[in-house]
Amino acid sequence: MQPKIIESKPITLVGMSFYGDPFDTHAGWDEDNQIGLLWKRLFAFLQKDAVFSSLSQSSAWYEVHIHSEETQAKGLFEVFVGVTIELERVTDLPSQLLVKNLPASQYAIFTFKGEEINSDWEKILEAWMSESDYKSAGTYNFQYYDDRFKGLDRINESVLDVYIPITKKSD
Amino acid sequence: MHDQVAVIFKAIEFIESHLKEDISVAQIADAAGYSLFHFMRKFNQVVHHTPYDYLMRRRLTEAAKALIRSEQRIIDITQDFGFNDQETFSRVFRKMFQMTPSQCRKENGIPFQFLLQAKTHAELKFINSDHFSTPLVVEEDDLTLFGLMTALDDNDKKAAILRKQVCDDFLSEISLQENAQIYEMEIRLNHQIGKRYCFVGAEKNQIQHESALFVSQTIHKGRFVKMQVPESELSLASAYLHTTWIPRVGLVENVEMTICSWKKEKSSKERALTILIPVK
Repeated sequence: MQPKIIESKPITLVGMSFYGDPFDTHAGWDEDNQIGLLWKRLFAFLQKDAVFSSLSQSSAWYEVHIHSEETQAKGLFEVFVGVTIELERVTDLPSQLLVKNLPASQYAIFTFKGEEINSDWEKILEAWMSESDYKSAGTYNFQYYDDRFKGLDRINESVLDVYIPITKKSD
Repeated sequence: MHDQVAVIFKAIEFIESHLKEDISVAQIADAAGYSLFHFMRKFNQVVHHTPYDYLMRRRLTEAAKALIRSEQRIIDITQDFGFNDQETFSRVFRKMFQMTPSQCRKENGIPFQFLLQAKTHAELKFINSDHFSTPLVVEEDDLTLFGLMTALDDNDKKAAILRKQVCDDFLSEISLQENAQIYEMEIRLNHQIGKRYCFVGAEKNQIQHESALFVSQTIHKGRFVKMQVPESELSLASAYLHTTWIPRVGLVENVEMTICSWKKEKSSKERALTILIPVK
């Protein structure tokens, strides 16, 4: 699979975050994992918030996975879910919301359709990276959900973009 | 799902052969042929532990066995299983077993069912079978039973024979009403391995003729973890409940008794057992 390569300005996101093994649920296995719960928590908050409820109407959402020193050894990492926000509104944010700044970067964008979304697509990213002229430029990647993503119950009609920050191996 | 079980079982085997080495979750994912993120998702789905939690619990179990069976110094066992220092080892050991390594050695043990043995292919297939039903947490009232009781042998094989004998004796000694609920309990006096008793009985109104040999036993009201399984899956279900499900939902067992009950039926089809484990 060949990704699309783009240059991106810094992206400022507002949302909520979780750190740990997101599949470590304590309540049972039919319920959501921590990533699902995080999305629910964010939507529930935004819908009720007097000032920022308009954000819940956004058509594009980000799920950022940020690796730490514990990721390889213990499988712990940060998951941030959120939406873009204008920089000048950041200082008005309530304490429940966090800001995440993704620096300006070159990105490789992989587009997955239908059942590919549930497959081991990270393996595809890793394979491409090892064969291409690029290397990873950050310890994160993000999934970009817009109106092409119809929901987990309509996965066959859905499309998901995965972004990884890159830089030339020769740099 | 069957393929996934097979792939994840490879990861289980990899962990087993590297328990005393400093391996990472990323290396385990590699051994299964998955990316880290996908592996973490699949491992949890299939094993019901996070990979790191499973790795730690397996190491602690083998460390506990070394404490009980060998004379090795605790500091050496700590290092053998890759724990940085004795304080960390004690803390995580206590978290898993509710006792410190030195208590474990002094009191000679941890009840067998709390040791997380390496997951077998059969147990993974059981957890992932179509008929697997998630255990429930229920509140039960006091229940007084009448029946027979005996001390069990340390040896598991002999204990199993004794258990069956008590059960047969109870059923032959009395006439029970059809569909009567029969309860088999294993009772411990304390935390030590070995000192355990078996009781088989039923509620008084279900027993038509009493025997002078009968003793009464009360299951005190409280919270229980409850799971229904066919008899052939009893040992798989027990291992799963004691070492995976109960720790995972954050409950602690009341170690004094485990209860298994079934209905007396004429039909020869496989018995459906209800496992009840008191929890705090």
